[in-house]
Formats: sequence, C-alpha cells, structure tokens
Amino acid sequence: MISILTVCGNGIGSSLMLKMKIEEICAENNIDATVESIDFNAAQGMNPDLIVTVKELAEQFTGKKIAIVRSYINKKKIKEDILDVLLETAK
Amino acid sequence: MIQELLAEDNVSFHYPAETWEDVIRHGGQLMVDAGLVEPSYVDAMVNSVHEMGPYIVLAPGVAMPHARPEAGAKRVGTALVTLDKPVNFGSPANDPVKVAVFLCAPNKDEHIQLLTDIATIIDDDDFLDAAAHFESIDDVLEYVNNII
Repeated sequence: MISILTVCGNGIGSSLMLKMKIEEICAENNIDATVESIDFNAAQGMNPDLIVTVKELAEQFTGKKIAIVRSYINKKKIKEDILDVLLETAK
Repeated sequence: MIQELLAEDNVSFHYPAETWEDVIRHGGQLMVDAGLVEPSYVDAMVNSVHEMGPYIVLAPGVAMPHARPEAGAKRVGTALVTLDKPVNFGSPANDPVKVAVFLCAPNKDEHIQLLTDIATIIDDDDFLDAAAHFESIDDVLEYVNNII
C-alpha cells in the first residue's frame, strides 16, 4: 500500500479532481494506494510516499518525493505523467 | 448536479474584463448576490492566485476560481462567466482564459459530484466553442444536459 497526497492551493478543488483521477489510474493498474487531497500549507508537514501536484506548486516543496502533472483533470495526461512513478513507488 | 446549481443569477456572458482579478471579482459578486458566499470569499479567491499562482487555470482557456471552505462559503455552489475577450492569468500552459467556472463548498465532501461535473465539462473538447455562443441560462443548460 502506498500513500499519495494530491496538492493544490486550497485542497478542495483541483487536488480533489486529481485524487479521483489517480484513484482510477491506480485501480486500472492494480496499484494498491490510498490517495488524499490536501492544501499546500498542510502538505508541508506530511510525509507520504509520493506527492502529486502541478509545476507551479512543486517548485515550492523541498525534500519530498514529488511527481508533477501537467493537468489536474485530463486523465490521459495525468497517466502519461505519473504512471511510471506510481509503478516505481509501488514496487 | 451542476444543472441544479446553475441559474439565471449566477451566470454572466461576454463580460468585458481587463484583468484576471476583474474576472474573479465579477464572478465572486454573482456568488455573493446569489447567497452562496460571504464577500470575504471573493477576496480569498483573489488572494489565492496572488499567493500560489495561476494553478486555478485548469485547462487551456478555462479557470476555476475557488477558495477554502472557511473563507466564507455558505453552501455548495458555482458560477459561470464567459469573457468578451480572453484575459491572461499568468499561466504559461493555459493562458489566455476565455471562461471561468467558479466553485464554492462549505466542507470537503458535499461538492464531489459538482467537481466531477465541472471536470467533465472542462475536459470536453467542445466546451470553449460552445461557451463562446452562450447567450442565456437556457443555452448553458442545453449544453450541460448534452454532456452530463
């Protein structure tokens, strides 16, 4: 089981959309994961196996394992961006 | 769900905005007038972009302004603003913005269906073309009912 946090500025919009898409991608690829959405400030104090967010916010994290997505909502782009990292993290 | 939340008083067409802040304040005022949010929520939506950048521009041409529940969201709601001319929000990937779909929610749970609907709309390849021709709430609902 891997733990994933999806992060946006407020934790209720884009990151929640992203959480739903990542849950679908994990299910389709038999990756056992818990995915939670969270706001940027709260995420700073957390230590999940992987943080997924967009470039603008990723640049403000240090010392955490980050995967960058180009889109919060387009499943195809999200899958292209992070499926390899998900599979690697789940190993 | 979004069909039930969109109404005459929370949609605005061909709004002549000059700046991204103008776009957010216009849609935010619709939400205040519709009883969805406190005025503080509008400031919070603007500050969110000032502080964390234009990540609310979710796809080419489409922004989803929103703020945290505790900033003054009274119930789950939305608003739709189409722009007279495109406006830059500072998003290298997705500028310029032509349509803004607003979001408010009093907690992290009750708006999941609304978010799913908004994602479906934003992800629809025909959305921007359709939105450019919205002239009334009836036009909006006709489009939405077709894809959701």
